Amino acid sequence: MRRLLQSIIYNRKLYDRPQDEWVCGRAAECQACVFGPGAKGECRATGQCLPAKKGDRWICTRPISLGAACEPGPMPDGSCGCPVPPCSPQRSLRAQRGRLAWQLTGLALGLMILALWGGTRNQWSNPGPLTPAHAMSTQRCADCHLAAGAPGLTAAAQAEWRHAHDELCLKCHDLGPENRSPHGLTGAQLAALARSGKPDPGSRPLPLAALHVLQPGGPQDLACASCHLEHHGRDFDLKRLTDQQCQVCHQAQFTSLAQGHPEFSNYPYTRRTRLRFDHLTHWQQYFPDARLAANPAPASCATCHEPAADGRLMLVRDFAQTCAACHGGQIEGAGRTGAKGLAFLRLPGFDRAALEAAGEVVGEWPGRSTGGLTPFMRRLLEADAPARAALQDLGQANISNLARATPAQKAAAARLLWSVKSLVADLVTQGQPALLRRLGPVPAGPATRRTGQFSADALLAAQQAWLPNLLSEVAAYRRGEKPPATSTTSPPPGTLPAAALEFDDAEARVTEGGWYRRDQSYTLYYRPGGHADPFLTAWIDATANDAAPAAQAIFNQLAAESAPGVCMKCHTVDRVAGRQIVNWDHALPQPTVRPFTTFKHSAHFSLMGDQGCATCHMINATADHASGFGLNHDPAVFQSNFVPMSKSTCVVCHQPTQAGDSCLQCHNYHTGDLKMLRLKMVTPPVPPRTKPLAGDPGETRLFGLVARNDRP
Amino acid sequence: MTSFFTRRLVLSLVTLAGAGGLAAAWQLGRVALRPVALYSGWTLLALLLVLTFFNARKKLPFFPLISASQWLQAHIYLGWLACVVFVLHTGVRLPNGAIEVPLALAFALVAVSGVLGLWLSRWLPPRLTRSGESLVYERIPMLRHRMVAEAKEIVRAAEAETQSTTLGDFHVRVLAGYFAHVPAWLAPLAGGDAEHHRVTLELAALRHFLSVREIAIADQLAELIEAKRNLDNQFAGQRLLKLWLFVHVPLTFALLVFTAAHVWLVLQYSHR
Repeated sequence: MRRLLQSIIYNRKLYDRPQDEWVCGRAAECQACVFGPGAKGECRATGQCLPAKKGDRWICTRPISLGAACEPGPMPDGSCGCPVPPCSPQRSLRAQRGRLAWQLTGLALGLMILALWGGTRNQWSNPGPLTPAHAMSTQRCADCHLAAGAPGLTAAAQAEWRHAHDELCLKCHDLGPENRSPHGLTGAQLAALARSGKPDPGSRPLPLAALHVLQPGGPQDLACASCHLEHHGRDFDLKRLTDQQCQVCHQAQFTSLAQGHPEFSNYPYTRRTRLRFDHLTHWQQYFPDARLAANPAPASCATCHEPAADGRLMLVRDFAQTCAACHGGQIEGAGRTGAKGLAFLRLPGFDRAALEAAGEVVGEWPGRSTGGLTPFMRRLLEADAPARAALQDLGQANISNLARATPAQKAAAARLLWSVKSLVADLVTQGQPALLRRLGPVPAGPATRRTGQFSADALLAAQQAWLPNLLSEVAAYRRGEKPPATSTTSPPPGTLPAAALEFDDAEARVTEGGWYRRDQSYTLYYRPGGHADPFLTAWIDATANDAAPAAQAIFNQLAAESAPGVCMKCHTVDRVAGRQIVNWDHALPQPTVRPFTTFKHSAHFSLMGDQGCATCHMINATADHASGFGLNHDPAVFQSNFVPMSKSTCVVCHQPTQAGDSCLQCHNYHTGDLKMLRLKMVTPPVPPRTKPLAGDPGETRLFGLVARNDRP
Repeated sequence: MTSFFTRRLVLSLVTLAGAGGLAAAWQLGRVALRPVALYSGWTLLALLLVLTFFNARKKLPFFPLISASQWLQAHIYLGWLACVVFVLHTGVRLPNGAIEVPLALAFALVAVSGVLGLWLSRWLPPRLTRSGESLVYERIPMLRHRMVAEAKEIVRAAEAETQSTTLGDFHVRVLAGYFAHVPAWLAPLAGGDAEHHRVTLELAALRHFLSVREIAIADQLAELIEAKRNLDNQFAGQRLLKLWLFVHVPLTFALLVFTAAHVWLVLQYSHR
């Protein structure tokens, strides 16, 4: 038979109060009093009952559950005859739980108050470590967070909040004028891109399709923090985005590179090469040519190309390692017919007789000089006001035949003659400073380059041979006097006393470049000394965008493919937005320019098959490569030597399970000329109370880190 | 009347649908570069407040709201939903902020204790019912005291009646300790009544050496031993059913404090 422990008889049951805060301390010993503890835990025990007075007698009221009326009964004074000794009431289980809850709450609250309003508030408020680039802000929250308040509840207030935070980001990260625009593009550029998009609903992923319905134009209020999430640890990738996130704004959305990504149009050949080099003719004609066997032909692409330090761009090795073997001598003029140098300065052939007949004072001037002003002389003379006026007054008159010239033109010719003399005298006596003074200020390039290492001594020797009395004549002319009565005709050149040894030809004496003169033509020449000749490059640069006719004449003379130095045989001139850009260099890494598409050559070297570079870069035998050069100066008009790459080439490896096909593997979001993705060297916002002293180690460390992070 | 199984099935499906909907919305928002952390955070806060209100509702029986039983159902299924939202909110990432770590820890402990409590409340009651007489938890110490006294009284009376100390010796050696013994906290989870079986077997073995009268008294003791087994089971089981709340409820309040601090920080420092 099962033994029941609890009585089920109603009046034998105890009356439990589990909700009470306190329980009798003697309850476990079956001696709980009927009153139980008070609300504050005090023992209220007096007896087992509270006797009731009936008439003049006290009656025991002990409940049946405790044994009903007791034997001794109440005392005469009405107190219980079965007194209960006092106990120490115990908290009920429920009360203990509540007490623990309040204690824990108080502890948490105190901890939070200390944490958020204590001295170490910033450390406690930090929801996680920053990435190293941002951790250098010396942990000041105000560098990246607004100091006061919380965003308002209205959309406008929240937009303003976001904008203000973005401005804090842009304090260091300058993204250019369109810093709040997607990709840093202007509205027009974005509109053009939108028009070029070809939506392919078939390959649009489901989430994007849903969003396209819900929000056709994509999010309109992107903030920096939309993509760049901080405080997720030191190793967190701030640029981590999924492919779908990248595409949410795009008109053309697709699943992956293999599925739906637009086919490449002309990748990677978006412009003509800066150096004119026909791979087809060189590989098919010149390199195999037995007549050129003396010069080592390239064995592979790597003979001429090497990866840049960052492995992205393939660079062309320098001239000495590549083209010099065959083309080096052409620069100095090897095999060239005619003068190998440039006529820099010449005594032009003035119609001396006509001038003297007109009463003009000519002074000493070679009678056999011929030819006109060189473009260089014209440029230098135009810097001189009297010469400029003389040239203007002269108009179309031919200085070597002034028979039909007007008296004013003859007078102008005479003034021009004296200006030429003055120019020569200045160059002889003052040298390069005179040259620079006449060239005037040029914003770009060090001034010394423009002189082309001009040799005043070379000109002095020429002057002594051609116009021995030039200096005294010019001095007198400048004083307003007549020139001294010397021979009016300079001695013919070549009247030097016979020497024991014969002179080689003047041109042959400067095979490595330099200044030489031809006395027969009274001309001072400059012969290029090799690749990247400073005289030629400086003058081409200086005159490329100088609209003056004389400057353009110099540029056209030097930029001709057959000009001495043959610079433009290989180097091209781009005409973009009305400016001429001389491409002295091949494509070079541009750390500040971030293109939409990025590619790392070095990462792909190990994947090349037997075909080497031709795995991707296949020669296009039908392309009219030459049409992109010559008279064409538009870099966008060209036909590449190579067949544009196909998407399928990349898809072979770039699959999700292989090399990956994330958008960000090949594309940048922030694009353009981003000197700015570098950190600005701005004074960081320093709160007054923590402003470091000058030379503070913390500040030094900060700017040291800024310098190290000075990269895109 | 809806059966328990049907109700559980329907509510589970509704919860799963809600969780799926929230996860889909979260995924869409994430793709759309929306501040999903903010959205999921506000959702989680709302769920937390609703869940916490269950405790308040129990203290407001006069309030004309749905029954406590229905509140409990809502508490259970919204709790599961809150776990899903918590995972979405944190992005399945362990937090490492000075406030976020205790916050996440508190949430995890509250959730785990809630799940544990739910399991105990489903697992233990049938076992307790099968164990024997249902006892009021608060009375168990008193019943234990009474049982000890009763066993002692029976043995003393038996000694006086039979002039034999066999049962008295047995009481001193085995029964006194057995009746005074309080089971360990997690005894119901350990299972088994080894102590009870040992005492029962020893008493059974003793019967061979008892007189007829003593055997009758031994039967009374056997009933008491069986009642003690049930008392221990009831005590340990009910204690466990109450103890998990010592983790769940206090930590909930701490969780609310940490949550308030977290919300305040987000409002102060969020970029969006």
